[in-house]
Amino acid sequence: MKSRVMITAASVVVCLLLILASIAIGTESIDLRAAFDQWRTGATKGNASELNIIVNLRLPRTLLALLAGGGLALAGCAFQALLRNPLATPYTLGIDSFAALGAYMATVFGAGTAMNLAGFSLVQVAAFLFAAFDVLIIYAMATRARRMSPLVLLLAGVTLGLLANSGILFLRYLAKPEQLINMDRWLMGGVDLIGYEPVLTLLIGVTPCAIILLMQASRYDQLGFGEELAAGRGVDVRRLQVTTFLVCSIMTGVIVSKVGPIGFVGLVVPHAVRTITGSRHRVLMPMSMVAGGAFLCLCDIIARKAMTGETPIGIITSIVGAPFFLYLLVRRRFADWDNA
Amino acid sequence: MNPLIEMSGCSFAYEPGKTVLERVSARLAPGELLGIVGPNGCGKSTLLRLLAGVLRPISGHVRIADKEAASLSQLQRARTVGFLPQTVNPIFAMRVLDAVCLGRFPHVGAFGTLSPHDRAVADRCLTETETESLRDRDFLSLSGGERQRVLLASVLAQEPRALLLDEPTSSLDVHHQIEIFALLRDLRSAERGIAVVTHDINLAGRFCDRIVLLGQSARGVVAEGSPVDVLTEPLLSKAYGAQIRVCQHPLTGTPLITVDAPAESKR
Repeated sequence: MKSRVMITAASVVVCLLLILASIAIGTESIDLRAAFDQWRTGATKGNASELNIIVNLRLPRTLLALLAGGGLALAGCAFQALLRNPLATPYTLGIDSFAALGAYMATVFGAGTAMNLAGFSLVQVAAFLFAAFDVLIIYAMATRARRMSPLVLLLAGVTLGLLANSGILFLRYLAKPEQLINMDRWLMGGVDLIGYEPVLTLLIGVTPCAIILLMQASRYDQLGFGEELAAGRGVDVRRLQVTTFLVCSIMTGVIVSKVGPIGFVGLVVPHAVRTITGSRHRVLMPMSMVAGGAFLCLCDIIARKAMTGETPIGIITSIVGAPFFLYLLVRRRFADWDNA
Repeated sequence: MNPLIEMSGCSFAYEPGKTVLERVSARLAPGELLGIVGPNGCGKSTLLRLLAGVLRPISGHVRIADKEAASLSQLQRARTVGFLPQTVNPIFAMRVLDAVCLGRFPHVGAFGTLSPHDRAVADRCLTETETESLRDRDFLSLSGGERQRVLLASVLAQEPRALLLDEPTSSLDVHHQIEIFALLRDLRSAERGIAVVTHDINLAGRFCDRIVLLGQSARGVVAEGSPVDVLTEPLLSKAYGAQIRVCQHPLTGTPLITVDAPAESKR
């Protein structure tokens, strides 16, 4: 028990260091001490290049990665508990694919439309709406009078995701070559947005959703022993389903519409954290948020440094996440989930 | 004494038109161990879920501790009624003590923060079910009998006055089955009543104070009363639709049930 607390504390420190590193490391390496001196002496922005880069480029980017990674990991955690399945994440439920389909549609059919709805472009609005549509279908299946098993819902999500992917291929076939470049870039995800506007959007979108999900922690614990036992202990299982689907879809929709589909965070991070903190959601969920944010910061550092120019972050999360997940599978056997 | 749970004229169907139970009445009194028996698919589990308040009847009333079940919140209900379903399959590794503490859910706040009192209750429930020695083991590493005892402890941790168990012995060895039933007999008290669904009529006849016998075609109760009154050849044969034989157990003196096997086929 003591050692678990120590490991958890150590992990938090590692996460904080990663966040700091993501501020310091970039295309230009920055001397943090110089930046701190500039801030302390109140140097004006014109001649304080280090401080300028940090405040206007690095910090918003790091915050964006933190919010996006934290939100995706938390949503993964909640879906895994709700559907009692280790593969349940926003990505496997087809949310990302539908968001991408929406973005492609907006690019192909809405070309040239300059729209700005509360800071969202047409592509982002379409991505959000399609993500919401995907969850709505799964949710409608979940709440039919005759209960469907979590596994069936997950399969429905996977099927919808495959459907969306076919839709994307069809749109690619229709699209003009110059549109394809933009579309493909969006599909790879990225936190290389400039300024604080996307950060603010994510902050407004993610914070309330995260708070609501964190408040369900003890109910997700109960679901771990089965829906019937949880119901017997006074958990309103139906209400928990509604809350989780609704809140997770809003949160994921906002995130994906801004940074594009970023896979593996929602899958890998909760499983990795669970090996450290155990499965009490009161600890697991906030730790997954921190670790998810730190993981995306790490991937963003690699994205900035791996090649000259930037590598899209969605590629990095998969390249880093997939081997790590395989390692977890081999190491930990996932025996716990066998009888789910 | 007022019953803990009283169910009157309840009907239930999982699908429209396929009634499982029709105008069934039953009750659970404090201090008794009630056995619910009957053939497969006769609605034993459904009856237990209705008593537990996790299912709502289509018509009729269920009263829990003199209050209409429908008027209670799920948490209020869970503080009076403990329900252990037949299949409990945990997906997470968890320490036995933590698993028992999960039973405190209806008593603790939204964040699940346990007070010293909650921990004391959990410890007491481990003692009551003789599982103290398991408290630091991983629940998933336990044997079937150990699991069942720990689950029982976790439901006891709700401090329910009515304890409802669905087939708690179905996957256990003979001696573990007896141990669980003996434990249930000890756990009933002046305040606490226990209802248990089982397909083992012999065990029910030996340990239960009262038996409710459900029938396949009856869509409800065939007979209800003390084991010697209910576990008779005519009543059991009616409920099961088969020729049931009853004799006296040579060691315990309780009803012993057996069925004539079909004549050996000549192939």
